Amino acid sequence: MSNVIKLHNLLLNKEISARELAEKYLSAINCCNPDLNAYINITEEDAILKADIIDRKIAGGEDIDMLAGIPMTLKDNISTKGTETTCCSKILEGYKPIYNATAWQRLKDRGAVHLGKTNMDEFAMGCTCETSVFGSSKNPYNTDFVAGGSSGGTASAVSANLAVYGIGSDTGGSVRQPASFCGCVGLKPTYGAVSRYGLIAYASSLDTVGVLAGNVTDAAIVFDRILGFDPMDSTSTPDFSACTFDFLNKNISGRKIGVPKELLERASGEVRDCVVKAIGDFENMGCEVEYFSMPSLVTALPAYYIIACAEASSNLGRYDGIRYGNKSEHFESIHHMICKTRGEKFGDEVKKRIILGTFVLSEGYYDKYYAKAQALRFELKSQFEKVFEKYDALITPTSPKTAFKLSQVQTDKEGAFNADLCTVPVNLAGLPALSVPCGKDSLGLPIGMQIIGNKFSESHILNLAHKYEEARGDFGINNMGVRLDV
Amino acid sequence: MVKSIYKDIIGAGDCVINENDIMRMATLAKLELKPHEVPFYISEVQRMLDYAEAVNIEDSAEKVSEAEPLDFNSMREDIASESFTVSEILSNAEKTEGGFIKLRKRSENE
Repeated sequence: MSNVIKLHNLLLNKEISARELAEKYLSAINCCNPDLNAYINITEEDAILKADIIDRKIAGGEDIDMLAGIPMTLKDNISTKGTETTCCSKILEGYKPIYNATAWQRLKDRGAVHLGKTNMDEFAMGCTCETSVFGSSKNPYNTDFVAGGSSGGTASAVSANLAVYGIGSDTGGSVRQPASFCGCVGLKPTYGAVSRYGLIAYASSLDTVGVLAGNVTDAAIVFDRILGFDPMDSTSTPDFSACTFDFLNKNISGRKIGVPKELLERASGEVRDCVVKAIGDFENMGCEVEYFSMPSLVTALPAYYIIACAEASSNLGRYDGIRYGNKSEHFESIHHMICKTRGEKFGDEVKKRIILGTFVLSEGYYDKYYAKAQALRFELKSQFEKVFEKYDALITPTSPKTAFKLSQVQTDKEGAFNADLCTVPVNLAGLPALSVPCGKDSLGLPIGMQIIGNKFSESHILNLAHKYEEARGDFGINNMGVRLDV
Repeated sequence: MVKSIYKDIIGAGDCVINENDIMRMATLAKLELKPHEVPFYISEVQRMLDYAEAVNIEDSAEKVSEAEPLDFNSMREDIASESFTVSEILSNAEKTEGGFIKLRKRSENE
């Protein structure tokens, strides 16, 4: 089932070269990307160069990592030294980082072949990928629908097999929700498990670097290679190490799974039915399932928006058009240039969140909004701690609904807010969670199930998801991208 | 306990945003807004604040004082180590001179 293992064996057995594999993917990107708009920058030369290095290693009989020569992609907020990294914003047009993000560096060191940068909501602010300055990414299952967001381009590329896996970021669901919309696996690690160094900041206390892959095994293989302490990130956890791959096949019989009723009740009928059916599969595998109530999960959403926007208003203060990126052409003073640059080059969604964040931190409103949101976050964290004394994992829908139609959120504002309803509590509490496909709706659009674990229990949630994936069977591919029966 | 159910309070916030609020925030955030943009931000920020009313927890004031800081950050010793060169750091600036970023005081056609 693992695409990575399959391709790794093909490379080792010299049934295909890394260059041929890279060319196959690049050719598929050229063919499908005009329809999907998943990639916004294709790094063809680098990919071929790196693939040739791997081929020489194989020819020379050197040991190679399982990810060596495997084509992959990076969301456009992951810093790539010397390669434009724009967060899909006009304000960072032309910006070339002078260092690599740690997660990317760790994969690069193992021989990953980077195909290019993928589309995202501007500064990761959105749930449909439609706030990108490059336009929306489309859903490979039906291009009239969005890929989700903010890692929409990465999810679209992985789902359409225009990359074997991708690295995204998850601040409130930005890996899991597009994975759910596009029918792939999305892993958001525990806060502190993967270094954030080189991930362009949106809301620092919530941001995490995550993995999107075609299946759970591939997600585990990638996660095992990017996790671990990094002195360049002060929130990186010193003692965390894991090999989730070795844990995937462990027997899950007897595991205790909690299902919070509030999130299930707010899902559409089709999503709810599908997730309940998947929960039944866990019962059939010997898990003990219990439905329980946790009302604070629902009120987490407004708290998330306040905290995320407050942090964004501070983090995005650095964009002045002077040190890097793009600036306004006509101005009367330096101060005017900064204000004009920010006014012109940030998109509407980003400006809205900066204004809201500034407001909730301003005198007279801090206690009313920001302090209360932090209190709610603290309360939520405590409740999760109690819940995990009782359960090994929680199961919810990843998103209350399947993918939106293109432009739908312009009129369905409440739908856009609620898209993150099931995912944001996880970020507020710093927990790990993943989305795994569990079915399709009547239009053939994928439905995702979210499995949430206690801090640093990635091995357990990947194990549960892998066992579920085996029970579920083949999910059914879309008709795009590279066929792996090379 | 949560004072009001989330779905019932949408649009029922008691904080009313006006043009002055938006302009004041834009000034603080160094954002030049065009007059035609302001109504959009009034309605959008108002809508988000109305959602945020759900955060009105009756005993939240006590919880704030009781809340322990979230244990995310760990501080390390401030020890100088090898870092980027000046030219690397300035490599994304439009113009540089003598190790500094060079800026015009105003654009040439103003």
